[in-house]
Amino acid sequence: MIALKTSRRLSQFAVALGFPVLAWANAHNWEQVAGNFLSFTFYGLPVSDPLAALQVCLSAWDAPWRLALGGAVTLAIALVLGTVFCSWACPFGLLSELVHGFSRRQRPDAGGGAAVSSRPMGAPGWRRKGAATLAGAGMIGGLGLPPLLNHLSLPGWYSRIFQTWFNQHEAALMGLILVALALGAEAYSGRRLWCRYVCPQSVLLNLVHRLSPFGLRVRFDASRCQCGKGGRGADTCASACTLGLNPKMAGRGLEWECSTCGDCTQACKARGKALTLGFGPNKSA
Amino acid sequence: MPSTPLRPPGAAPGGRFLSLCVHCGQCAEACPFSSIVLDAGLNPLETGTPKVLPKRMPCWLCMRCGPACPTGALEPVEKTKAGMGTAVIDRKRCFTYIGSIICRTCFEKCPLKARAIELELALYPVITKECVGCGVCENVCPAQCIDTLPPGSAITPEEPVDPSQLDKKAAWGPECAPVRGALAEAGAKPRPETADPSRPERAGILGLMGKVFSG
Repeated sequence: MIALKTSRRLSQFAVALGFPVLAWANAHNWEQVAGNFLSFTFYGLPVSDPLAALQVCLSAWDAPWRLALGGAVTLAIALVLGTVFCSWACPFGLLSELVHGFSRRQRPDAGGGAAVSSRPMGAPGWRRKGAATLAGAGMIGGLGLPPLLNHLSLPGWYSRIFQTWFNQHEAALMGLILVALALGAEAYSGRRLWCRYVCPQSVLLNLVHRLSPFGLRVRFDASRCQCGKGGRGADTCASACTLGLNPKMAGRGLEWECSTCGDCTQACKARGKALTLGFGPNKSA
Repeated sequence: MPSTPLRPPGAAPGGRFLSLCVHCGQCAEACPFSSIVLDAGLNPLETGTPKVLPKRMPCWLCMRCGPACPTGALEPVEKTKAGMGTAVIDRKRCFTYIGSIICRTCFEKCPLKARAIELELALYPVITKECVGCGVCENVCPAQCIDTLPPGSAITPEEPVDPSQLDKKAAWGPECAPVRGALAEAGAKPRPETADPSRPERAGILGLMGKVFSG
C-alpha cells in the first residue's frame, strides 16, 4: 500500500501539473473541464471556491445556481473530509510545503521540529483571521464591490497565471508578484505564514471542518502516546506536521487549522499509534 | 482606450457585471477565437475580468461564452441582443467619406450584415441602432477609423449623410457614374445625382493617382 504522504504528494503534483495542462487544453478548444480554482466545471458539474461564491451572492444579492452549487460541493467535501483541499490539492500549498521543507533543512535550528515556533494559532488567532475574512466579504456585499478577496486566493492565481498565459500570452503580474512575495515571506520566516494567517479561502472550509458532526479528524489518544514529555522523539508528530502545528492538540483547538493531511498519523504509526484519522467528533473534545 | 472595457456578449450592465464576475475565465476558454481576454493588469477592480479588444481580435458573435458563465455575469443571449456596445465611424478618416477609395470592408464583414451597418447612398457606411458592438468592423477597417464603445458611452448621434457636403471633398465625380449605376442595380439605394461635373481637382488617392498617371 502506498504510504499516505506519498499518495498525498502524488495528488498535489497531479493538481499542480494538471492546471497548466488544462489551461493549455482549454486554449486549444477542449472545454469538458474548464475554469480555475475560483470556479470550474468538471464535465458539467460546477465546483467553486465557496468564498468566491459567497462574495458574488452578497455583492449581487443573487444566488446564481451554478456558482452556489459549486460552492456547496466544495463545502460538502470539507464537511466529510475536512480541509483536504489545502493538503491534497492546493498547488500553492505544495509550493509552500516544499519551500517550508527546504528552509527547515537549511536552518535546522529554526523550527526544525522544535515546537517553539509551531504553536497552533489557537481559537483567538483563528477568529481574527475568520473575522477579517467575513468582514471583508460583508463589506464587499454591502458596497456591491467585485469579489476582491479572490485576489488573495493564491491557488486561484496559480491557475489564472496559466489561463492568461495560454489564452492570450500575457503574464498575470499581480498573481506572480503575490505568489513570489508569499513564498519569499514563508522561506524567510520558516513558517507557513500565508496558509495559516492570511489565506481567506480556507476560512469557510475550516469552519465547516470544525463544526462538522461526522467529518474526518485527527484524533489523539494520550494513553497510547509513547513520546514522554521532553523525552526522545517528543516532537515526532509536531515535526511531521506540514503546518507546524502540534497534533497533540487534537480536540483542543487543532481543528481550527488542521488540514487533515494525515502526515502526523503516519509519523506516529511506529510510536504507539496515538494519532489516528477517524470520522466523527473528537472524544477528547 | 475607453475607461470601461468592451465586455463579452450578454454581459450584465457595468457595476452588476463586476459584482457577478467571479474571475474564473470560463468565458475566455469557451471562446474559440480567443476574442475574450482576461484582464491581467494591476487594477484590482478589473484584473481577471473578461474583455474584448477588437483591434486584437473582435467578437464573432458565436455566443458560446454566455452558456459557459457560471454566475450570470454573462447571460446566454441571441447575437442580435449581444449588447456589447456600438461602433462609431470617424468620417474624417473613413476612406469612402474622404473620397480616396470605395471601401466597403466594414459593411462586408459585419456579422449582422446590412442591419448593423447600412450603406447610405449605396456607398457610405452608417452604423445603425442594431449594432451590438462586436468590433469586427473596427478590426477589419483598413483606415482604422472605427472605434467600438461600450454601452453608456457618450456618443454623438451620426448625422445623416449629406450628399452636397460629401461631393465638395469626395472623389466621386462623373467618372464614377458607372460604379454608382452598378451599385444601384445591385440593389443598393440609388445616389441622388448631385455631383458637380465642373469640379477641377479630385482629392485623396484617386486624385493623386490621376496626377501621377497623367503627369
